Amino acid sequence: MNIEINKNALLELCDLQFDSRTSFSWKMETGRCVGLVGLSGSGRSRLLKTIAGIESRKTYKGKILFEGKEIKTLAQQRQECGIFYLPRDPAFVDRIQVWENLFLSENLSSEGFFSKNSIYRDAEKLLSRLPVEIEPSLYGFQLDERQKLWLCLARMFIRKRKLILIDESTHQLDASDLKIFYAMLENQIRDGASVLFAIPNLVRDVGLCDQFVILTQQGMKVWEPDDQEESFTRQLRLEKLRNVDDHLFPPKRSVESLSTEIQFEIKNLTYESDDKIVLDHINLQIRKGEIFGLTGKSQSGRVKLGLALFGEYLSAYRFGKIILNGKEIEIRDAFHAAKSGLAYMSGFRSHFGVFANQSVGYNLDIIYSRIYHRWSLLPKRALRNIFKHYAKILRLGAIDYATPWRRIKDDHDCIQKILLARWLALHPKLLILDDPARGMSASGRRELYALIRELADEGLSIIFTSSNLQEISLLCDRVAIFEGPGIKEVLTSQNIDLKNILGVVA
Amino acid sequence: MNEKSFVANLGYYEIRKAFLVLASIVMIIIISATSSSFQNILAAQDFLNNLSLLLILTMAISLPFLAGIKDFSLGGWYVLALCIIRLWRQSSWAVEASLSLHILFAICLGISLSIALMLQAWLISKRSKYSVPISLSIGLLVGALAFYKMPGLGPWGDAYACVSWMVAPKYIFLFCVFALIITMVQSVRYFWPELFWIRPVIAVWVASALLIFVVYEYGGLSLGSLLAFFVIMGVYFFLHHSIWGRAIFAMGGNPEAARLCGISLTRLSMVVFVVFGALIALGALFEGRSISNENTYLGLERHLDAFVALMLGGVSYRGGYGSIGSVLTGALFVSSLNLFQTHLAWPVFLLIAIKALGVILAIGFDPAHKEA
Repeated sequence: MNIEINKNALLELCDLQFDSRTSFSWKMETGRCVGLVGLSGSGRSRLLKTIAGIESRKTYKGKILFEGKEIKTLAQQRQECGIFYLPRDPAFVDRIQVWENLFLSENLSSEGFFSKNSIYRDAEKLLSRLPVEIEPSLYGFQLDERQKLWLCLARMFIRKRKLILIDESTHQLDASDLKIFYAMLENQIRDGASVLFAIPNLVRDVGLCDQFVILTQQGMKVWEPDDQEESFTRQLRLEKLRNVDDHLFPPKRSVESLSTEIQFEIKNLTYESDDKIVLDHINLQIRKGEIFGLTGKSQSGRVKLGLALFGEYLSAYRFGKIILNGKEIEIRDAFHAAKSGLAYMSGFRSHFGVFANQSVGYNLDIIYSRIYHRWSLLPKRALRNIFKHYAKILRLGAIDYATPWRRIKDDHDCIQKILLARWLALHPKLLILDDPARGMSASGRRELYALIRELADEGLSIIFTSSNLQEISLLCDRVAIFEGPGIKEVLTSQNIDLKNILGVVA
Repeated sequence: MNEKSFVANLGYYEIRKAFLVLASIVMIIIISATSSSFQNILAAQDFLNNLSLLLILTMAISLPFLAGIKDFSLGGWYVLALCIIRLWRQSSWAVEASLSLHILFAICLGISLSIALMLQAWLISKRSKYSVPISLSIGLLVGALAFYKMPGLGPWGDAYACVSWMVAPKYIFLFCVFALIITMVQSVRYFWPELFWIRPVIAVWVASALLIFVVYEYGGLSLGSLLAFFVIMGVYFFLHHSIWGRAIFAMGGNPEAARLCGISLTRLSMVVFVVFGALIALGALFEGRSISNENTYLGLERHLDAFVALMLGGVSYRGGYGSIGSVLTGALFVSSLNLFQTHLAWPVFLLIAIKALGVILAIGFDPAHKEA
């Protein structure tokens, strides 16, 4: 893409801080298409939301300058400056018409009135440029998923923009649609727009960008790729750049040291809901003490498998068998899964794990107390002893049982340890970890990886789900790569390295 | 615990409770000093009975709110319970019934209300986002039915006679000794070798001393007040010492995480509403004021008082945050406010306005919002 780059800064971040650990300072030049890259939980979405004015001014320190002037926090004011933000899952209203949906985030009125006819015509004109046919008079609920997605993407082409912020919104587009979208975006850039694009998928979304900003614990790293460089080399380079150091991982172990006993087995597991297949004929055998990695593109079945084992898709039709220690188990809900010996820990801690109004002790023993109670009464002494035991093992420091959660709410390393202890207290047979290192610091990651390896050495089987290919390649003994709802390929220990995994995922 | 960490632990939540208790004490002192009608034992007993009733109802309404279910059906079910009680008392069976038959009736009332509310809980769990309109309309429907069937006043007024039965001081004294021994044994078992066991023992000592002083001063304690005390203890145990209580806080705080921790949200809401129903029935048994077709707002009044006490005390409207202490302080404040209005002859609209402002303030300072 040959676009003239103006060296004047369009956007400038001056010592932007979300927490005390990291500060971001960076200048973005006009006419650039910049890819924002980072590990999950590194704060890409938060950064974009902050620039768009959606995050409250209280949540960060520092300044954001747009065309040399500090901009205010109101999202509306920023839109008037020419900044457009497209969220990961764009807002869509079913009960209003397409043309209204299209102009949902625009300020249409002048002194409280607007001309419906002219807006309707504008909508018709814009919709005719899309690769899907959409009638502006239709209602939202009459559209299918693809039409809805295109309608939301079309919002960015309504008028000339100075800065377009895209937060992984393309993750649902298929390859042909993505090509068309990029062509439209390129036109917008030629018209003078700059783009800051949080990249959802390194495998396919890196072609458009002429500069990459990598968010790390140390701050921002800027990398400008060589135009002649192959796409695959660029992906591999970015994957390495965004990742943490290799020395954080424990040394790889030999497969021969693993037990041959099969601990957990899934045979032909299929979940079908009304109109789509959630999981398609999954076959897995996990040995005792094995760390089994699951990876793949976003929206594939890698995360859904863990949730399905924990009773998430109960309304879906289920076929197949789940076998633990040679016995078939019937999973009705999360309680039965936990009682059978399964444990599930998600990296989305605030959503799936934390009870922020309670104490640290409560958060640690909530499941233990549900299983090991006597006549529904809490075994308080046992609960305190368990807390003491895990506080010592996991080195929780000055935290005691009654410490309010609000004291540690920003310490992601500590939170993850407590949530892990919650499940370890049950002595599970299979531990399912979904992106466990999300948002953790380097030292926290090192401790977590060492602990995972230690648990596996003690005979606990682990399913490790992650989008971070480095974690998968350096920690897992075998890796299954998902494509859509099914498994595409299983890589064994000899074939596991970053390049191979990236090759299969692509 | 050193002084600094104690002060650091004293969050805004504790300050709020301390303020409510202080305000209540100030109001009671002002009434005692200025109103001659409050300076007799009967008025004090009446205040205590009203406080006990409000406590039971606030305990009842706090359970669904702690579990994150916004329920507004208390008033309707309460009026229905009052109606059933009056129908029973006017029936020929009740005239010559023995004490055990009366107790059996009370148990049956509690069970039937619990079952009815369990069905309501099931309905709400199917449409959890519509809990407010569902509960409100059920409450109105049930209240209307109650008023349709409400018989006229009988010769004995409304409340069961037992509301004014007095328990002799010697029984209270024996009970205090028993409570002290149990607290001491349990605290030492739980906290030993740490010295924290002293704190609950001292608290029970102080409470017992105060109780015995009051009881000897007034010549006894009404059964209603004693029952409210047992309800407080029961709900405290239910919330803080049983797995159900933990699950209620979990469900109110983060339902998604609670589900992944193996908590069945539908089953839990049913359990919550069973206790809710039993407490409403218990409250209705101890209602001291008359209710008739002309006084249709009694249920609504009780409901509003309980709701205001809940919000002021610091139970979060968003769920998952609150304690028995917050319910107690809220109920004490609202009872004192009602007493203040009655004895100083303030207009009723002023009382309503103060309560409404209190709720608005309480929402502004919602603890879950502040500390999450």
